[in-house]
Amino acid sequence: MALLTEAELDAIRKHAEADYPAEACGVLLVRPGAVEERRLRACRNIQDELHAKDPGRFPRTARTAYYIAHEDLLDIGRREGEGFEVRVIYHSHVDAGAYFSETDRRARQAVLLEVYGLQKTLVAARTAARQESDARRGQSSRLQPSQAELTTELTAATALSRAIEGYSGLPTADQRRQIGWLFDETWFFDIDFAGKGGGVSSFADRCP
Amino acid sequence: MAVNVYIPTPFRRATAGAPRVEVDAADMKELLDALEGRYEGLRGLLRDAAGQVHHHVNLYVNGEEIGALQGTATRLKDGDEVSIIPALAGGVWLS
Repeated sequence: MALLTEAELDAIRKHAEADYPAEACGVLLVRPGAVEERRLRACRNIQDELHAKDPGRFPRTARTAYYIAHEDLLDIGRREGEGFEVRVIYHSHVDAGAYFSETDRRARQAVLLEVYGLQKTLVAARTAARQESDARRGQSSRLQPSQAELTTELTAATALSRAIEGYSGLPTADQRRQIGWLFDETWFFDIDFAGKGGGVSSFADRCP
Repeated sequence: MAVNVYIPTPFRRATAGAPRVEVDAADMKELLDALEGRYEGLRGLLRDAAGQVHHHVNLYVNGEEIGALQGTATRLKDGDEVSIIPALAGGVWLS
């Protein structure tokens, strides 16, 4: 299935128009299963409220920035507890082009770091399975499905990292060294998002 | 003072995947100390080196953001629900 359906895209466009001249923001929540459950949630942008309260910390207004409201964040957290994953985070750019801003690009680089970590783990696991298989030649068939599965996952992770690189460029050596860096930005969350158990998926799934 | 703490997806690698943990704490500072003491991986994720909660981390007690309460001095009572929710924010590129 496409990341966003035509109906969902249409709803997002309408939301962006309705919130103009403020940036509109929201998420697509998906609960995986035999029949995937999808909920597009338009969120409230409280950037103007934050700016009015603390312009030093929040110098931008809602015309150029978004900050999803606390009640929406709490609800998203509750939905995650019910098995939903944040598959997409969207926001509009007002009177500007549709492009990945520097903030967006950095978020994707953070995703890349996660994916690279996953690839490394998969390679290690596949190597271990192969060595175990070689050591027990008579029982190798037991491990073959695992090897095949790991290879498939590795292929998917590699494809994913290449796709993300297309958006964001490779992370710098400094960024790789400082994995903690991704937690230093106010914006961070689009990011880590982390993934199933700290892995990759929900994090990565947030990348268009 | 047993408090239930919601751990957001990005931080669960520090709690072995647990989405909720129970912590004994009388206030939010104690709760953060206890969390970081129990889960080494949370160090640096919740607070900076000076002990200040990161700007991108929102903390809620029973649905109220602690900035609207007494910050990390907010008292806790048995059965309180604490949620840790990273901010979702961003915006257009300003050159």
